[in-house]
Amino acid sequence: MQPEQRAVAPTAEDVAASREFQARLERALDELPEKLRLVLLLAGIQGYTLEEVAGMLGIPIGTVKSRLFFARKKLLEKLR
Amino acid sequence: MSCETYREKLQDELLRGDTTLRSEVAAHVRGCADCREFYEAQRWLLGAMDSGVRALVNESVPASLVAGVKARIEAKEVRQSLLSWRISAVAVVGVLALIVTPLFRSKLRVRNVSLAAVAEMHLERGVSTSAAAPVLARQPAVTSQSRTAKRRRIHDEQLARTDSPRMEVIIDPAEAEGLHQLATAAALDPQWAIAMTRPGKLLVMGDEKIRPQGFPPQEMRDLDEEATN
Repeated sequence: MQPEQRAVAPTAEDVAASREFQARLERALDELPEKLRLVLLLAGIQGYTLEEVAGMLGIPIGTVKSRLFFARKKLLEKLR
Repeated sequence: MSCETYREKLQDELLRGDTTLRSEVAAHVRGCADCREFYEAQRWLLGAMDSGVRALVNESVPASLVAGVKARIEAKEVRQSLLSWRISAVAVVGVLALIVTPLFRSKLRVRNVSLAAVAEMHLERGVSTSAAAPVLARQPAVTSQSRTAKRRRIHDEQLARTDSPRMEVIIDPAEAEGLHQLATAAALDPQWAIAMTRPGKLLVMGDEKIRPQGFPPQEMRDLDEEATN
């Protein structure tokens, strides 16, 4: 019996690495408010904890968390 | 709740980074194929988004820059720590000074107060002698030209009347106020006038030293303790 040929769905990492997705992501990031974009990018840098991001920006960690939440939400809506 | 409400809730939980859905949302997702599909799609898209952001910033931000910024943050924290330590040290020294200074001053304070000193103080303060002790009321009026001579004369007269030795009285505003109160009390109680005239012979009534009326015991205790030292 011939094995069934299935199209393997790309993983999230595969999509994230694609040029098309990167271009969409950069456009979406440009449209974010500065405060939200800054927190999202700093939190995305490897090695930085939310506490360190709060220290860098001089804001409470609760504010970092809420800004991160709204940044991801807006970015998700733009990428959808 | 409608599917729309559940989808909002599960999306919020994914955005917060919650690894597990709350039980009521999880139960709905298990039983609703459409919401389960929505959940999987959202999770996938969020994963791609986070991976894309991480790839973007970590490609554009050199590792050396990250290390440099972290080093600056740590250095700032150390400086803030040192600053707080210095502030604490200053505070400790200040508190110690507040504690030690009165103790030190108490060693300097004379143990007996002569009426001459009280009279001098009254004259310097320009306090009316009408309410003071009778001996104070006998002091003549003071003019600026004769103040020094009058002080000396008052002191000499006082020494002649009492057997107390000459005393140096350290007067600061707080002590001057206390002496003024003592002099006022002496006017009200002849026994205190006698006691102040002869400070080495405080009258003892029973086991308790006499005290001027209106003086809290706590305020007088320090003077008594100094007198016994």
